[in-house]
Amino acid sequence: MHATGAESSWRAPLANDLEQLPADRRRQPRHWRPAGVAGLQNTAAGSPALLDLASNDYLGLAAHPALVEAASQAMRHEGVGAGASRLVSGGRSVHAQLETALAAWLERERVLLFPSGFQANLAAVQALADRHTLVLADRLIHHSLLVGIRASGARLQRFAHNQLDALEQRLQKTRREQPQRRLLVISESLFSMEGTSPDAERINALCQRHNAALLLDEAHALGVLGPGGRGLAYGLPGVSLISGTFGKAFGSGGAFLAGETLVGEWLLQHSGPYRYTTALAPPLAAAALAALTQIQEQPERANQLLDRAHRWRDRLEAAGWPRPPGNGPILPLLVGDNQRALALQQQLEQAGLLSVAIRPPTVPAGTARLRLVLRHDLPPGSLERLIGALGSP
Amino acid sequence: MSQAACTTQLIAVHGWAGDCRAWQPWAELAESRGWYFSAAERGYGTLPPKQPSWDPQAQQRVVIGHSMGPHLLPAAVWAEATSAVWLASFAAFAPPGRQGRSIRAALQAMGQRISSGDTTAQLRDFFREAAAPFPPSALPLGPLEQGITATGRERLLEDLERLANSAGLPPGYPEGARALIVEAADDRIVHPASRAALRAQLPNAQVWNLEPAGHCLLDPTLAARVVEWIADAQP
Repeated sequence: MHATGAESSWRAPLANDLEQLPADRRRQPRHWRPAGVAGLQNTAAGSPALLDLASNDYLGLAAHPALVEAASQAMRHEGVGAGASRLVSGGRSVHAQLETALAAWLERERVLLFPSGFQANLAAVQALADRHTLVLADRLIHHSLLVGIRASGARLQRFAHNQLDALEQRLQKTRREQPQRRLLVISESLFSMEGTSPDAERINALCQRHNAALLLDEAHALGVLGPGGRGLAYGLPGVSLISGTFGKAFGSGGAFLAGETLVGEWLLQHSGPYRYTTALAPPLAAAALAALTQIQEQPERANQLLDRAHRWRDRLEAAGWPRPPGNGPILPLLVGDNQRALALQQQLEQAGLLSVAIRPPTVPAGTARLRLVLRHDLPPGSLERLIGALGSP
Repeated sequence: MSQAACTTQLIAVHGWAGDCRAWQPWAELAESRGWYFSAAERGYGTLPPKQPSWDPQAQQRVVIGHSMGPHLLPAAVWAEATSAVWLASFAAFAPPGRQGRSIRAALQAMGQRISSGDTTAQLRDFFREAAAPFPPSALPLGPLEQGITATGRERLLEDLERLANSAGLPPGYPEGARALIVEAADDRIVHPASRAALRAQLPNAQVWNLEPAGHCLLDPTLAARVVEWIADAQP
């Protein structure tokens, strides 16, 4: 029943909003099933298997037998879900093992697990900022970080993407005018839609010089960038908190924050996103632990992936496409127009390749792109097939 | 690097319905070591047939053959090889007995489809099985994308006969050659009995079993590993 005036009044803003949404911005989720190695198949009848150039399973670990076995064992012995938050009865030994192993790997004092990266980022910002804080954030940080800043009540100033001179000027100005003000700088190690990375050492040095906390979101970098895949914050003591996820290179699900004991203890005692949520599902934690072992035992996977990403950038550029920025496994092919990006996506799908057109509002207007993502297990010849499928720029 | 300075030469041979472009990553790896690399071409698509020969300067002469590839090389080339790399290959494609009879029947059915003009669909079916567990678009570009020529179609049919009649190591195969057999755990093309028979024919060969991997061995690290294996025996 939708007849009453009161109901209509609350529906009206939603309906109006949807009516105004341009057709080329309207999203429809599609459903996929894994199809062998590095393949995804749309669940619609008759759809062919496509080579995965879209997911964030950079190391191809999501279907790795070691992860599948670890998750299966955990499910049998510890249940599918944790059943409660960590502070009630949801804690499992696998949570503690994973936290300890990550802390040792990243050389951080304390690690706390979260069910999702979005929650971890909310918690991280709330730990490092309050309504008295000035947050200086890269213009392209993830939506979850912006939501966290809003929730903290902090004042936000954004600096141009990866422009650290601009960041330095803002830090200098703030310290000159407000020497005691609480400051937080937020950036990411590998920007998901840009493929770019900041100079993490310089951000670290700037924050130390100006007594600012630094939150670095390493969601897309861990397992791939930095020494042994430890991310760009590895070895940088000025980074106050690292945010990482298990849903990308780790091939599992869930997330974590890593930092010093003080921050960890504050999160444990005060963080709503940590305390008031069901603990990370044990099979996901077990799979993440198995993934960490894989990453530690085979660091060459990440190096090979980065070498390959370099070759792909060279070839795309040589074929006349704008060189995808950055050095990591995300290669955005900037095309500008929304319809052209969608047409390229369809063109690739007809050639058996899955890559997704990224359009506003995910990226700024006029910068629609095809987000090409490399996986470690892509077979030889994938690049030739891609270049052929893309056609002329 | 001049050809004359090479001490190692690789000759690579593709299998049924393939072409030489699939060897590009291998060629780059070989050339980065200063080795001479040449790939045979059967000519199913628009690429002209090519039969490489050994450089007189080459001391280490390595044949790399995928699937039927080793059976496409002339005896004279085999006779001068010092090493052989068998990639998802076989000595006899159809093993003896009932299993062999059903494989011969399948080859005959493939031939009938091609003869009746159903070449593209037949090759798509074949590539789907050859690529598995990867999707078919994971395969390197091949003759299907170029278009199969009338001559190419005749060669496909001729080589189905060659597959059915393969019965041992190819003529000229050098006794005592260093050998590496790379098997695919998920191979849907070469019967396990045929793989076992090759191992039996080459008892001194080193055997690698890749998993997960199908007939086309689409493992991004394989070429580098094989090149290392070859380098281990350099003079």
